[in-house]
Amino acid sequence: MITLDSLTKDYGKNRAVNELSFTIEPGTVTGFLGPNGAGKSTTMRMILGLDAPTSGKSLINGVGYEQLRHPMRTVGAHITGTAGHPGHTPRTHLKALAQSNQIPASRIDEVLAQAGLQSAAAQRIGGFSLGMRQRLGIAAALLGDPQILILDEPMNGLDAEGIAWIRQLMKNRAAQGGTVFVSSHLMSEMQQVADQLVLIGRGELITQAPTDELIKGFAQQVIAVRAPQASALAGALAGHGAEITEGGGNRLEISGLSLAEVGAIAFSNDFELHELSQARGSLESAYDQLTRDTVEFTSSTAGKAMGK
Amino acid sequence: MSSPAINQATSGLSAPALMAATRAETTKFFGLRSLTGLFLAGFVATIALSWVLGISAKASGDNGFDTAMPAPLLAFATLQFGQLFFAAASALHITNEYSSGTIASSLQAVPRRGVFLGAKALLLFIVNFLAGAVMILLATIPTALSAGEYGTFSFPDMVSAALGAGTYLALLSLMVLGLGLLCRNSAGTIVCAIMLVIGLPQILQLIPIEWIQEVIQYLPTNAATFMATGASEPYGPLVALMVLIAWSVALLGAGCISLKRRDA
Repeated sequence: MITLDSLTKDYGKNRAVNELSFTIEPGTVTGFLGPNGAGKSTTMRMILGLDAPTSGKSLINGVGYEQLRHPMRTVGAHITGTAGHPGHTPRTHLKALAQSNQIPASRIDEVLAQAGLQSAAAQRIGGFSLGMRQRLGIAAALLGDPQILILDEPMNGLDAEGIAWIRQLMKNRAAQGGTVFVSSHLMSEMQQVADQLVLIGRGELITQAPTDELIKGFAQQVIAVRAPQASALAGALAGHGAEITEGGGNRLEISGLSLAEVGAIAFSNDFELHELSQARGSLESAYDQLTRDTVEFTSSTAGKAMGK
Repeated sequence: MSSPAINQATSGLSAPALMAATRAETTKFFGLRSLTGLFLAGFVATIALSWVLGISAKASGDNGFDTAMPAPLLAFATLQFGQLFFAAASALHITNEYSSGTIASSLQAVPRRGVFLGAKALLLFIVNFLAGAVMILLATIPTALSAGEYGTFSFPDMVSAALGAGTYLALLSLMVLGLGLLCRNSAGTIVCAIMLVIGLPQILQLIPIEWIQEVIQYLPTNAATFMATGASEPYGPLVALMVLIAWSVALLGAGCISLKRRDA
């Protein structure tokens, strides 16, 4: 179990993480979502004792990370960009980690096999691709057979097979009662693997909820309509308080009204309909909606395209 | 999966934790060709230079200039340059962690900064001590051969020079480790180390102020010479050892505070 209690981090005048409090329960995969620069990595680094919080604290099974006697046997973590020294081989890198935590040397070959790195075990890390580095980082996280996994954007640079592997690995760990805390800036990655989601933006907690509840509760129910006289229909619907987006090909996306209400309005106004359907809210749209106001780095071209 | 109850707590420096972390540091050190290569280069340079210095001593002696010195001490004199290889290796052993980002995985494995630093210091101390002592013993042979009658030495001369070289390189590695933690950057750390052992003594020599000339005697390189040669002026070997220890404690202490205070 991971517990955060008002965790806060300032860099000079800039507050990177603001009073984060939440608990990550065992037996679940918890996705940690937020746009770039939201404070995900900083939060994870504080949990791992790498960065000191300005105030607040984070606990692993009730104690601070630094109090763990053999931390890698309790928490396996992979922070992006730390896979190993370019001059070392994966075997050397893992051997040093195993020695420091008194983990049996037999685990080295086990995790190398698990990560699909046996054939590269004696090559230097300097020649590795991003995907291979990720695999090595995840292998290192698994080395101590820990209860808790903390993975920072583990899917970056992985191929389809690698993504399927890490997904299955996280699900299995959780099913065995482990705690899995995984960050991502892509909602679509998390939708398929996370039971729980913690959303942050600009260092602040937006929400923590089960994934399906978040899709149901936060995504707007969007109704799609196709009609030959789309703009006239849009006018009629707007009169009933609907929010309307006009798509191409006489298509409207409507929110704020139920499916039956839209049908009734069209019927009573004699509009011909070619489609009337409920578009299921995706997690992506829920996420966009929740983080829209908190995106730290919006690219200027995107701003122009949106007519800002 | 291990039970959290077993795998809990204990703070402070425990011996098993320090030994485990030191083993890990040993693996990291000898797993890098850049570090073992620097050690090897230091060996070759020191031994070759000792031989040359022996030839020079003989030539001077033959021409009537009395530069006679016991061969082990001639060999020790070459450490002036040889030390740079070892200092660079010690610097890289810590700054590599920052340049490659492995500091994060190292501190995840050994989160207690005291244990982490203790392990690095212990490893560097041992390998540098052994390298320094063995190197001077080896370098004495070519020096004695090339210096001929001008390099006559006694057994205590050799022991004193070998132990002196070992102790000096070991303590120097701790100073450099401290500098590395302050700079966190390979080039910066190596430049600082070179300034400390070569730059400062030469620059300060140019300043004709009495107390500055006095201070020069307490710089690490000078103290090392007084320690290994068994000098009595301006101070003896024991005081020289204390001076070197003081430098190590000061720089390593500063590095330790930096490691504990700053984010990884």
